[in-house]
Amino acid sequence: MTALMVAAVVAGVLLAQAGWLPEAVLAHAGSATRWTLYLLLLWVGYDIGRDRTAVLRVFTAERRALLVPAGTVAGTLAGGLAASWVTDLGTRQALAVSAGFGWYSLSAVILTDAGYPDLGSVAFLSNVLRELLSIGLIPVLARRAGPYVAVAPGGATTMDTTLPIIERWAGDKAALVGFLNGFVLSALVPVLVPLLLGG
Amino acid sequence: MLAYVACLLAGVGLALLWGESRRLRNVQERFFPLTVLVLLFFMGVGIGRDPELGSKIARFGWNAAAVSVFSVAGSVLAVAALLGVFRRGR
Repeated sequence: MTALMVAAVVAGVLLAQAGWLPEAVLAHAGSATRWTLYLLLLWVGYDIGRDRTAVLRVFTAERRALLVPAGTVAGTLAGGLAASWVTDLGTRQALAVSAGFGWYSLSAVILTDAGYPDLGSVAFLSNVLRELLSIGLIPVLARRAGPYVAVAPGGATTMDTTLPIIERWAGDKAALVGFLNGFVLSALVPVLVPLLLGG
Repeated sequence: MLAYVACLLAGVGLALLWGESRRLRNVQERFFPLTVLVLLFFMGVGIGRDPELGSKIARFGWNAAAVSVFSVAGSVLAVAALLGVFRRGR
């Protein structure tokens, strides 16, 4: 299934780049993504709702899972700092790009609007790649490192596109933590990106 | 963001009403993986329809890859460490 998921993204990118898709598909890709996502979130909610003790367990026995957003933010920014040592990006630039937390559309727009179009392109690519890496890593991490660690790579996308993958591979409780993680990180993106850039 | 929360809550409501329905569970189990693949395909189309994608990768690919790989590695290590510390602390 993991290979199929990566293949689905790669097929979409390549077919669109090659111009082999009808114009209508290209034009409506955004709304198709959105409506498919709504349907998946409905399914995820259905799964969570069937396990009526899941919410209670996360907020009682598994309270440490609520540390996941803090760890994701701290680790991501530490990673951004480390990336500045091996690239020609400055420290603030690398931190600002990493603070997109996988939300490629918003982080790219913020940086481009702030007068850094090249950095906006880096943010777009970097955060797209983060999402692609997450799709491949979530099943592996869920098996080898535990369900809550599997939430970390997805960043802000764990409340939308990677949430169904978390739910399928890491379970209901991890999906709840994933939604919370994505919610917190999504709210931080418009604050942290300009702040770290020094704007 | 509100729409996402609304969809999740609608799903929870569906489970509260028909959580025991074998037919609904069959539909969900059968179509969930397929819907994930459809979502990822259209996500790929959304990324790939940018005509400048190739030139962006050529110009900024290394910087972008470094930031994403280090960020993912950092977040996984930090979360694993935090959870490990608090597991031992209990």
